[in-house]
Amino acid sequence: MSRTGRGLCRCVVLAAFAVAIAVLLAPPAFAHALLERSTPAPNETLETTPASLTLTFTEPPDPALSSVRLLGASGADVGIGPMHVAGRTITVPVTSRLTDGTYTVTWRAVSRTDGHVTAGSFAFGVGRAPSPTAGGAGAGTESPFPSAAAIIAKWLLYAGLSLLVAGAVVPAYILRSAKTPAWVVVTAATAAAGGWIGLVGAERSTIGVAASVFLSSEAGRPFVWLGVAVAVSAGAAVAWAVTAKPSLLWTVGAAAAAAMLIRAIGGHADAGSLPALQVAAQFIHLLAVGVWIGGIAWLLLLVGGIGGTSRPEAVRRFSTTAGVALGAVVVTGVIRALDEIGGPSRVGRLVSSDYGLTLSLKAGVAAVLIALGAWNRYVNVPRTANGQEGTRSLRRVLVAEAVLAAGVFALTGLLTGLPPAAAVATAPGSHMHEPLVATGSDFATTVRARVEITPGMVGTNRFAVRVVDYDTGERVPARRMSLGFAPLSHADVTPSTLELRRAPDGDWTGRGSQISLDDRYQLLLVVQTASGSTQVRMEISPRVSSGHTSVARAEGQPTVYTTNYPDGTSIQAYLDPGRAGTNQIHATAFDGQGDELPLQSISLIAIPPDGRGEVLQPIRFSPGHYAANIDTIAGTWTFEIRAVAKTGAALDAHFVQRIERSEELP
Amino acid sequence: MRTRRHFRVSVSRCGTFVVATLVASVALPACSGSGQSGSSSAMSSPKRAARPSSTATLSIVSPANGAVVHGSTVRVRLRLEGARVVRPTTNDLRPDEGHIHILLDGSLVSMNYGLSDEIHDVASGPHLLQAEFVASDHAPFDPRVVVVSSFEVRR
Repeated sequence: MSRTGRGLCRCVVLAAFAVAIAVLLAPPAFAHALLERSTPAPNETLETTPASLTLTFTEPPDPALSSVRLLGASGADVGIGPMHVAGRTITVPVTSRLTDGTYTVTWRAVSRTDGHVTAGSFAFGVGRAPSPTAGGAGAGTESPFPSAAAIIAKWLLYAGLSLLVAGAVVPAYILRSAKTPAWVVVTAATAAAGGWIGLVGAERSTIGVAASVFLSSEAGRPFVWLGVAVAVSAGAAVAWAVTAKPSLLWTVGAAAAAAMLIRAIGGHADAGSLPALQVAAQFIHLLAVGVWIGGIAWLLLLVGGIGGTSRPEAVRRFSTTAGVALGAVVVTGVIRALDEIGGPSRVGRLVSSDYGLTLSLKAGVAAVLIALGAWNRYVNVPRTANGQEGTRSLRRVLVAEAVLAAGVFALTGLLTGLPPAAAVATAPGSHMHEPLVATGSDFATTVRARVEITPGMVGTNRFAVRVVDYDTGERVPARRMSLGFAPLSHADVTPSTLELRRAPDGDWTGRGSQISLDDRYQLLLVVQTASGSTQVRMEISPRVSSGHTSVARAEGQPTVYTTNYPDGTSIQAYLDPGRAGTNQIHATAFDGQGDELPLQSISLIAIPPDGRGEVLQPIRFSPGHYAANIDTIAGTWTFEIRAVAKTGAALDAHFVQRIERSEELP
Repeated sequence: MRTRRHFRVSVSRCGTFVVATLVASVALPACSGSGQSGSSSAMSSPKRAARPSSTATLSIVSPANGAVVHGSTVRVRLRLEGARVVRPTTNDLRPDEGHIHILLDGSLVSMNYGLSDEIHDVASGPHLLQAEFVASDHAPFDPRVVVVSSFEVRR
């Protein structure tokens, strides 16, 4: 194999390795500051005025550009103190005494990571449950759709940068054109500069502040650096046009590449859990697109001026270079796409979210572009050796490629303005698309039931129930249906019942706040038919926002699970000895300084391999440390810890551990 | 041949340009930092160090191994050397500070701030008492400081 071939093989192996790392290790990206959790929670009922409002987002909000308001039932502002931002959390003290009623928290957050703005509102009640009609009482989050101005501005920016990056190498070194047209370079620099100006204008308009305020904020800082890089590139372009010094053309390309890097850092890529890898992938993606698509434009402009015998070689050289760049585009594009949709298991989001649909469309257009490129490479390039007819055919396909490339840039402009599918699917309120599901059958196995609970969190939920014959799968003709709710670790809480109503599609539905505690619930579905009634028992655990869990294993030691929360608190848990028989589960809560965090309540729940959860009897050792005994069998167990600190903060953790038979251990 | 070599040189220069920007792209994001501000208690995911070892030795004074206890209440007395039992729970761990966990027949019956305790309503028959000196965060030291004693209860 030739040196070139070996080099290409190594590149392919390295690229495949990078893809594997990204796919296997990278959790979802979380660009756009979406609301992750809040205190009070949406639809929560408080007994008295809360000391403060706490909103935690998926991205750190810019304190200068973000805001929180508290409104009364009439829509008038209620007195709150100055906003404090720490990490991803905004805290606002409530300075007024709240009388009984419904209150609405309305917020706007500009992400410090990508500068995009999100807004939303939710309601809570004091002294009574919040009314569903109180000004925007749903826990909704809006992310403004990118404006036409923003899309056009990004199009100009990406097109200009691509031409500049490609212009530094393609004409002189790939095509070996006698002269790189200065007017093209200057026009591209002007387009990039115009794109930057338009982008800043669109961003500040969306946020609603003056350009100077936006650029002086933390969210605006990347735009300042982008402007510097674009200005350097444009200045070098003008200087090169005047002096024709080759080093200046390199400066043009390098500055344009730097601008691409700044865009990669300031975008969605930097919001992933492996930001270095994602930013690198994004940067390489932009660079490779620049070489490929920018090169297509340069080829289109210069191919006619290349001497007859040199033309086929020049086109072949470009085709080879474009092929390498295309490979980089595909590999890095897959890395980025998987990160933005939440991983390989979430490919369904390619069609279920705005982001995914736009990405799919972009990939489709790019695929056509690639096909045209292949046509040129294997059909038209050989024909250029045969004279003008081959060149004309080549040019026609190049024009088509350039048009499609323009479409790709436009879709990219749209894509970078949408919240990634993974972020939307993970933020509270977005679980409307993924209901919590419980299934079961009656003891006599005459019916099967399926309950869908949306959003499946503590608070108001929508319940949709389908009951079918156990054997035939036909819907059971029920006359009446009700759903009972009993929290498993709160025996002092009276179980509640929700009467369901038949929906037009045959399901039975209802809406209510029966899941009002952060606890595992037993559901009792009662189905009344003409011949009698049937009961189906199921269990569910409402979704909660949990922290990030790290696992520490060591020989001869119990595996220790530490769940860290955004506010610095943590829960440390372990199961000892971790083999079949009698075990103890220990759970200790710590504050941000590493001292014990007193708890006002805790539930320890063990779910054995057969799935029927057991609420354990906790033993209190100290205000923040609890333990419980449990008899285990071999198999995979899930343990859930639901605690509430004395501060009112909910701390939820869970871990899965395989328990071995005693004789299996050395 | 000369054309091919010139092409390879061009690709090599392009490659050098790409590699240089690749290095920058990996280095710069790492240098840019998270950009987050806030108090020291704000979000952080501290790496947990390996479990510390302890300077302590623990022994069961009563019930001694093989002892017979009359009655259903078992008085447990422990001796701890090289360390002391402390009340605070913290993840600032010291090898000579911790708590006591007491298990009877594999079940946790007590977690103690002291070296003595009483276990009530113990059934007649043989039993296994286990006492462990754990760190201030209630997780074991490495190696574990644990001691057991077999005894019999007769009523």
